[in-house]
Amino acid sequence: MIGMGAFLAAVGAGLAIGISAMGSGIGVGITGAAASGVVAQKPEKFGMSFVFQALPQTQAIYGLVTAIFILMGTGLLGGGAEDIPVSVGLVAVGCGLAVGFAGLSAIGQGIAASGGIGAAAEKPEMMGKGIMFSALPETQAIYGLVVAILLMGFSGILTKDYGVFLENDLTAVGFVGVACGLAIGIAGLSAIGQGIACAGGISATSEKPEMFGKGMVFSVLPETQAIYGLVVAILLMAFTGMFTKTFKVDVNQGMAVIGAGLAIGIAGISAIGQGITCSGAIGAVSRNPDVMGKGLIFAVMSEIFAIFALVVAILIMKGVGLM
Amino acid sequence: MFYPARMKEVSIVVHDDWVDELVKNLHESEMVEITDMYKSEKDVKEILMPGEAKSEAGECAALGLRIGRITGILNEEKHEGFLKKLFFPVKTEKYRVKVRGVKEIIDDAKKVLEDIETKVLNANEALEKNKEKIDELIVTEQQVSLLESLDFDLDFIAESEYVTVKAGVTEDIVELKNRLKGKCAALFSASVNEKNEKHAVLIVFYKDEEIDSRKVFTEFDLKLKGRPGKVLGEIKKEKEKLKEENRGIISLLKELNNNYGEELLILDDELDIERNRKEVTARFGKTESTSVIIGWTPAKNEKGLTMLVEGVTNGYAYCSFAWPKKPEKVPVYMDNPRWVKPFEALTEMFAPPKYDEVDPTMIIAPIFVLFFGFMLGDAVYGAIILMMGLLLLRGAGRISPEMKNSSILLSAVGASTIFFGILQGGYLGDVPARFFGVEPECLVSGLKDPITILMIALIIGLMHINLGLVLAAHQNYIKKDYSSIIQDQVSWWVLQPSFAVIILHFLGWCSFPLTVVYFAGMGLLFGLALLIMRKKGLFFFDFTGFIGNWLSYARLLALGLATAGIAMTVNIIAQMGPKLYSRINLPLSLIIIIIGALLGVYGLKKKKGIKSLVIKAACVFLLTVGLSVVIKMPVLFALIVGGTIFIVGHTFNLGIQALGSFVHSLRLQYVEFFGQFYSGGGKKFKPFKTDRKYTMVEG
Repeated sequence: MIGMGAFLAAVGAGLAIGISAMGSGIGVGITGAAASGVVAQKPEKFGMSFVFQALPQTQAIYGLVTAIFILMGTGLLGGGAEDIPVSVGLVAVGCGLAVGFAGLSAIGQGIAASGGIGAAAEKPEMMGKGIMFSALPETQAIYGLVVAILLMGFSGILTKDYGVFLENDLTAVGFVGVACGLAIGIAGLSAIGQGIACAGGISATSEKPEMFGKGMVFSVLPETQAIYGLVVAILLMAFTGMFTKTFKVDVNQGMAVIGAGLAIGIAGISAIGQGITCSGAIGAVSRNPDVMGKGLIFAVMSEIFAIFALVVAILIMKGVGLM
Repeated sequence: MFYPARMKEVSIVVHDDWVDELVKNLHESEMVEITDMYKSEKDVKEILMPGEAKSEAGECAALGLRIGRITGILNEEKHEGFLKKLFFPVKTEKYRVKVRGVKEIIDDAKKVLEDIETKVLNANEALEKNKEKIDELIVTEQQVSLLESLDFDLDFIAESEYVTVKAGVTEDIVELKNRLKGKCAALFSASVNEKNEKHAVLIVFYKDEEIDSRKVFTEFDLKLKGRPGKVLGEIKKEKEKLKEENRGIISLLKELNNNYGEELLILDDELDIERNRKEVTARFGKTESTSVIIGWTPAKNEKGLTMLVEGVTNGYAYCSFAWPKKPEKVPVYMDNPRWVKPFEALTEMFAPPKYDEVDPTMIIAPIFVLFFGFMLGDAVYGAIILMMGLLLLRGAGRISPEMKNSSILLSAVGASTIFFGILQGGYLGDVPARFFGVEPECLVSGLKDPITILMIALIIGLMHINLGLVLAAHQNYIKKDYSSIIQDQVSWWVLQPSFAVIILHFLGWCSFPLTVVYFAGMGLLFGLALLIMRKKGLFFFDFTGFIGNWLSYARLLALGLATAGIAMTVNIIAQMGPKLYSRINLPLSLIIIIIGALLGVYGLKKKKGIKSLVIKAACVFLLTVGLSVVIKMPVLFALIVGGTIFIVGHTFNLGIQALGSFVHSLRLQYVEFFGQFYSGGGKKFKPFKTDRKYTMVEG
């Protein structure tokens, strides 16, 4: 007979693969549409298109890996799920949210990869550069995976050793895990903005190969929102004593910091606006290299709103007495 | 080594009697990039006349085109498989030749063309015509075959005084009959496929009737006589006759290739080289009896080039060298040791360095290799990559320099992956522990101790970023831009330890004496003040950017763990696969066998290609699965099901993770590392050099 802990762990595994599979599906779909168009004109480009289409698949793979880790670590696969504490189950939900939502970054990667297919179909030498740009929006999924791995490591899911959690009621830590998952997971949607910027970078580089470096500079800007999410997740882990396994958080604090996670996570979506600006700025710099500095100023404007959220997230942590 | 080679601007004034000899020697020596005098900013061009291409240039180009066309026909590309081309290509030796004069080459080319050009072109035209005819006959054959079941004289298909007879096929016989109701005198039909969906049709209708048969009837425009059976026989004969003719033509072309192939390829190379030599004079400046050549050469070539110029012109040339005045105009020659050369492509993919900028290849080469190994971290995957690299080195690497570089790169990352695989205990994921109960010794495992790996990754990140800052400071020092050193680099060297002390103290992870904390606080303020002086209001973005760059190295952990995690998932599924044995009953196994057999029949029809291979493999898989259940051999079932999942899963994992490791390892160089000191954008040094595809000079 399984308990609430195992139920939550199953939900976590479901979120991890479910949402990331949705992201990968959409991303691969966007890339597939571009690939079909290219292959209709140039059937010999099938192999090249296939490589680009493989890029947004990784998010679902990260989701699958996390789901398997959760299922195995909590005994839902292999037995022993009866004893899973609620706190560990909640951490598993946090892992699912982290990897699942961050998996939506595949949409951005799909946008970039479809640009890459178009460029490489016209100019084969663009394949390497196209892949480099298309790989950028995967960073958000990687951050989601990093946070999930850390959470699984702290809670003993990776090693199937959750002794501290069995001995003490650490439900609060579980809520912090959920907050971390929301912070890094939803902020992962910033990849859509990054994908738009990368598509602009690919297009500019295809026209002028010397634009590769500058295109990269603009294309990494919309990643900052995900970094804010990662910073908040790491701060939450640090302030609640996860790194040292000397947990110092009560249930109310744990639930309250979900607000911090939501603040920085949702504000991360502002990167879509930044991505649009960056894409425009790349085009502008391509035409006139002198406007690089001004383009950067326009591009960082959207980020200010994410900084507001970062401040609020830190204030919440301070307000609930974690700092 | 850490900077592109120092270049010198070279100016050569040569007497016209020695121009040809000098150009030939410069071409072979590959030491100089020749600048177009009239596109340069040289004041001297105002008093010079523009140079002109030599008269032979046009003739060489025209003859080269004709020779190229003939060699193209005679050496029609042989279709080698992709893998064969990569790993086991047929290497053709280069022909040894003596250097000849342009006149001799042109005369030879004319003679050879006179001998064989018409023969080859006529033969090729006949070959193409016959191929077209064969294609047409194949279409006719297909149409007549469809009508064979109606068995009527094909000359019925015609218009007569009162009726029109048409033949063709329909996929909707009912609709066709409806449309023809009351308008046609007769309609004969016969099914031509098993499902009764497609029918061959012969329609006889009154000439003054208008029939709407759009979309339901495909008409065959046949102008043939006799019954279909007889016509098919004739078509077959005709096809054979054309094929026989083509065989004759191909053997004639082969014979011509045997007799003239070598000579044609040599001429192709020689004419191309001569054309380049005769065209390059258009880039020179001219006086009445001298030519003025300007260009760039690596400074180390100065002595050698001077000797070459004086030697070949017997002293009838003057050669001078000068250091460049505007660095942005200087072409960039990346002067790296041999072992670093294969990695230059990675730097060039971002952008070649500027002339006065650090060439980062020497630094990114080992770091890229280490990061790749860290991220993939599986000894068996590494061994596979290393093996592929070595095979490529022996295969396509012998033929193409680019492939040679790729194979060296592949071998290096393969070896690094083996090293990190052993350190992290990854052997196809957890195969030793899962299947053999052996826990391999390892230094640190990502699955068991992710925090340690994260710490290592972040420490590596800090070192990598600071190495970038050191390089930036060095560049600024050379440019004597001391304020940039203070504001852009020293600021970070003050901020990093100060920030670390404050954070560690604040979190209670470390206790420092109060004096250290005060100093750290002052350092933090000082560092921030330097940043604010430099970036004004945007300093905050620099600060968050730095933290972002640092945290980005966490991907070293994530990708390594993803490789191990997916490999483990594949192993689990491969382990679970054989358990399906008990779920497959006899009827289900028979269905599997039937599907396998049908796939086999379908697969045999397709002779070549990946699709056919996949179908045949699926056929073998299904037949073995089905038979193992029928003959009650669970071991065979376990081997084929588990083995297939294992091989396919690990192949997929290796492919996707190797791509990921390559791309993300490179990203850490381009974004996080280059971001500190490198912008690139230089123009590559393109020496005036011979491109011998088929020949090499004797002696």
